[in-house]
Amino acid sequence: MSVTDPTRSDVARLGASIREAARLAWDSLRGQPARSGLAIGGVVIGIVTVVLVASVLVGLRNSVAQLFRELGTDNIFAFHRNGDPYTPASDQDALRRPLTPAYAATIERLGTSVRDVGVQLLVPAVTATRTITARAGGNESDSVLIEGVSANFFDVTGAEFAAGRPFTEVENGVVAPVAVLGANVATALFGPGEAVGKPFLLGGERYFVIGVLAKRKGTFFGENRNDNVVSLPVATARRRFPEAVNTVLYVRAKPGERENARAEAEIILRLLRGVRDDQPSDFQLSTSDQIIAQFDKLGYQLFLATVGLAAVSLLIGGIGIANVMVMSVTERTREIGLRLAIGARRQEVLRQFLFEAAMLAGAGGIAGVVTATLLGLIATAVAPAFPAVPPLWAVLSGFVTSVAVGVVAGYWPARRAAELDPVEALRYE
Amino acid sequence: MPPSSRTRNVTDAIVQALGAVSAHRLRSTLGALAIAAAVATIVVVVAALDGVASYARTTTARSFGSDTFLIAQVASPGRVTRRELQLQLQRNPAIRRAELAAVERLAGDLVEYAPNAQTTAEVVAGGRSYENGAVTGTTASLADLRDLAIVRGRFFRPDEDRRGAQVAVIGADVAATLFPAQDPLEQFIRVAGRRFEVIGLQDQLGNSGGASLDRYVWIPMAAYERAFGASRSLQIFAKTLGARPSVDGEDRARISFRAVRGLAPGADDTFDLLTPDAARGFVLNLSQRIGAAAAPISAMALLAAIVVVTNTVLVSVTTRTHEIGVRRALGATRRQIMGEVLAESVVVAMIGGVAGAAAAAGLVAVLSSSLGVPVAVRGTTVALGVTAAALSGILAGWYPARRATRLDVITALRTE
Repeated sequence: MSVTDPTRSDVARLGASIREAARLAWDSLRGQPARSGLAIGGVVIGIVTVVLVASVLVGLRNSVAQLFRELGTDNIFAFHRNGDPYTPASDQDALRRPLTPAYAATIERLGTSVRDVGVQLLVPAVTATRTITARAGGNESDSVLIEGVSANFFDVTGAEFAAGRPFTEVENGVVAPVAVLGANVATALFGPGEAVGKPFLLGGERYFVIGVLAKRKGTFFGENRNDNVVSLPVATARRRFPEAVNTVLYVRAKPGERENARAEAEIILRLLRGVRDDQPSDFQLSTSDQIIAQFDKLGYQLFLATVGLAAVSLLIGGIGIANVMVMSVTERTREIGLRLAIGARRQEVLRQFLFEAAMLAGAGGIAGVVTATLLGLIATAVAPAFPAVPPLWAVLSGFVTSVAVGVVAGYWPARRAAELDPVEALRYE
Repeated sequence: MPPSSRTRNVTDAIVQALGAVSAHRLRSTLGALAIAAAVATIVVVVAALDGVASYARTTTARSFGSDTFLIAQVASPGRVTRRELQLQLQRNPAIRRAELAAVERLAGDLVEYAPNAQTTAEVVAGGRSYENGAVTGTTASLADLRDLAIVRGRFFRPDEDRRGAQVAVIGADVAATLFPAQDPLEQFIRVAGRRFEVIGLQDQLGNSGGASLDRYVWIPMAAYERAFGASRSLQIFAKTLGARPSVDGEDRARISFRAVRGLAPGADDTFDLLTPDAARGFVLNLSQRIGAAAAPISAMALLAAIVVVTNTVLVSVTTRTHEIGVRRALGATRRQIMGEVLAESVVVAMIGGVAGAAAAAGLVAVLSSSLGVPVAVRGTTVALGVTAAALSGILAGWYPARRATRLDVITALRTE
């Protein structure tokens, strides 16, 4: 060993010894194909479970996040109650007054950071006395969500049209009997053919389809209720469905000014509704980020619990590796003794067995990740509601985890091997 | 083969297996540990699902009474589609007070009824306001039907019912909001502009199915009608009296209602009768869905564990190749060898299964006492876990056992 350049020779030595360890490990695995295969199999099962479970959960989360982003990331949603406008009033806010479409103009006029305000008036399709259905020809759909929206609503929410066009201000002004249909409604009523220009009946009255929305990408367990909408001009909806009161305002901020717009909207709404200074606001403002963050907070613990459950399989795979390594060390006790006796370092013996364990687990990791990806592709093809294609990070961390499991599981048997007394080991039968 | 000899074979196999297991303690321990982890997972998951189910039972009992049933214009557990709701509303007319009175006359000593009419209203006292009072008009008999958990004071009496006294029993949240610093008993609250004296306080009840049970203001039915007008349709809680099975009471209630409404035999009921079983079923259904997601994940753990045990037993067979050869040469049958190998596998798995179930039971006990959730591992769950372990043992031993029986005697004898 050179004193002047110790690093280089150390590196060279280390490299040689690693290569040696890898070769020994490989020989040992090849010598016991059935046993090695089973040990790898255990890791494969573990990795497949963890990666698949993680990717299903992440896939679901992302498509839910997409669902909310589709409502516009620059938008602030204002509603008089907390929570989802489509679910019945909760205990806390059943007595609050709804917002009214007239607020939109005031917010637009006074809010300096506000670009424009879209209005969505929700029409209850089921009341104590009737259920509103949509029909065209022999087709009927009773799962429609009816809403009255302002002319700018489709622009504010960034809705994409598969065919036709949005309403104009004029159509709203003259209370025109026109409608824009969600993708599912259009298919339910008119099949795969052209819907634009055709009439349909909604609650017994006739409307003409002037636009069909593109199918939304975000889903909540495969569902996106925006695919089920029948959008009417807000004036038309108010005239035809006077019982509709629940109104959601979509306040679109100027680029980069969302927080200002939010503060302005809050002040203006408080003024409009006469909320006293010492009282909390009697309405709720939220953004897609906020909704997603809330969803994540709920989902996080579920994610941890489920992945933790799945990780038990990986733990068991690790036990399998440890088991094989214990056997491997026991069988080769004499060989280890011999190597130690002719001058092998304990370090090298330790490394040899760690390599063997890491190679087993790493092989399991690669096979597991490949299997999980294939299964995920098949699952996604069969059930698009559960996107299960593993993201890259899941693939990488799956592989890294498996190698780590191998090293951890192999450490104890490897230590046992390295600490053998050469004399005792040579005597071992 | 005579039965005594078969028994001896089985005993021999188990003795052999125990010998093999204890001779290679480390290897066997790791195999058992793998099974233990999988079985413990299964037992903990099943116990957690049990916990959800028992939570469902206690909360429905709180909001419903455990042997009460509900008669209403529309009452369905869980969600119904719009179409179903619409059909039910068309079929079932509103339930009116006169009908209740007629039904009560037919009850005999079999059923007790308590009507319920509810609205959300603001409740005020002093300068304070509780916005979301669930103001409910009912009768004194409700206290017999349901555990209202009155911690102080009392529920109203039949005479207060009859004259519609201005008295109220209030939930814990209402009391805490309106009377943060003073004793609410004998204080006055205002509901819809009318004064009510607080005569009873409910204990903190928590939630049932996401709805708070602590926002109630119970007042006599007649007082409710004075304040809010007659309810469009009554909900009626009912309970079977005496020690007879509850079916009697449900039948009597159903028959009474049909008689009062003059329904012809064979015609459908024009009211909904909801039993707590049905209400509970909804929550149980939920826990089954969680179970449906957890089951395959636990099954993967068991599969991984089977692979580990297979490996353990396979190595055991490999190292004993010579011995197996000698025994076969001396006349041991393939069946005997197979039995021995399978026995070893099952013994390893069963040790793991028992240890895993025990560990899980301990863990659940510790968790349930430290978190204050009443969950216990049932005997059947332990049995399930140990059975799963035994079956895993058989599956795991299958491949090594076949290898052992197919060994060529001559080659085996030559093996070192």
